[in-house]
Amino acid sequence: MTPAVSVIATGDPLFRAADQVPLGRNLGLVTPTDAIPSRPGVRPFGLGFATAAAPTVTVDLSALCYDVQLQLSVDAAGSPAFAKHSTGPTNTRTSDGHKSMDSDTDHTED
Amino acid sequence: MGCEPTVLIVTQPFDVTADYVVAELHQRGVPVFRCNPGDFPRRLTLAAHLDEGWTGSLHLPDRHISLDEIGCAWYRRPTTFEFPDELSAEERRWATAEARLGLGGVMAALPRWLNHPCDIARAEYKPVQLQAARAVGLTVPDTLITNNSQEARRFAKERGQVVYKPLSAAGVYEDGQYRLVYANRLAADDITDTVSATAHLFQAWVDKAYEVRLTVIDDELFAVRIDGQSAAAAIDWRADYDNLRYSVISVPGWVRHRVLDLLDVLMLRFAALDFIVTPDGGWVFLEANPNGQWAWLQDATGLPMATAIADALTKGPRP
Repeated sequence: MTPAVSVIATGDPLFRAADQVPLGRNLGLVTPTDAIPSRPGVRPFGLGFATAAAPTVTVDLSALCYDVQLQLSVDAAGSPAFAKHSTGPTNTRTSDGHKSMDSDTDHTED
Repeated sequence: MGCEPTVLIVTQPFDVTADYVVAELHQRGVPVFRCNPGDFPRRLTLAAHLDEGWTGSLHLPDRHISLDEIGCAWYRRPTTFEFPDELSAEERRWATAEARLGLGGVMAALPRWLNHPCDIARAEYKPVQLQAARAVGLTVPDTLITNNSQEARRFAKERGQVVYKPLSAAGVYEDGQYRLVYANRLAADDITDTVSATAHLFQAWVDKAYEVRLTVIDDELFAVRIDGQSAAAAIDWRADYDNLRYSVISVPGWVRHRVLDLLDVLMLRFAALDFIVTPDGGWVFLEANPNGQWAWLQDATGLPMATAIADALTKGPRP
């Protein structure tokens, strides 16, 4: 008797429903950094041009917090902070209670 | 809250660009409901019932909004759902899909967006936007997308110099650091067989006098000339922000008309477009960023982009 073949659609189709509601990764969820480039001849051509992103701009979120009434970031005095928009990777560290101490980068390369 | 429609802003809490617009809306007395899918399901609660359209509400611990109070929604930089650590990876994957199609689906059904997330997603495809740009009459560099290294070398040889640029903005984490791929100038001999490893985009090199970031918000255009002051910035200004000079310029009428046509074709009300201006004054379209950043240019030039965004979020549909 021929065994039944079960095909479960768990793959990553070309056009995913997920793409229709694009979402970034969570604050504090840092991508693992231990990957090693593959050997020459295997590594995709385009990645041969990968270069370290500009030095991160550290935003000290211990001095900022999200004000749920104003719905924007405020400083220690409760005034809107209007943190300067960065032009590259931003490293944020926070112990303000929004989340536990964490770090993240906000790449604004588009 | 009165009768004025509420602006729904979908983004993460430390999105400083959104802060500019929230403040502008506060000044106008426009009610705002800012939320992040990252708060779903633990802090953000959805209850939606299908009537003539979707009715119901979104609840945060400190505020709520009825779906029928929402005038226009702004899709900025939301982050993904967060589930309890106790869930297995498979349970989390399943719950994420349900959340995306449930919360995301109800949001996607809202009638007015700046921009609708599905339109953002479609316009992110460079092949789609490049074809649309050419169709509306914008000048677009000769472009090849291929995983055939011979084709890539032939394309480069015929044009002398080409640019390789990635199709997405994603970088890679390797060796403990985050790496990005910018545009790089190449000759045919620089192209290796590892083009076969995935899709690669090549464009003919275009001599430039300077580059322009053109931010379009409905029918308002904000053009900023960007002069790269270093070798890296001269090829791709994103590679060296510290060596850029910004100045406000006007947009030729024919570019304006075609850009507005492009946004219509892509069903976008907002986009940040990149152009090369050639030494003889031609405007060459490079790419459209349907959810591109703009606040750093407002900081640098004083252009009132947050005001224009607030206008777009509070006025009626574009005629």
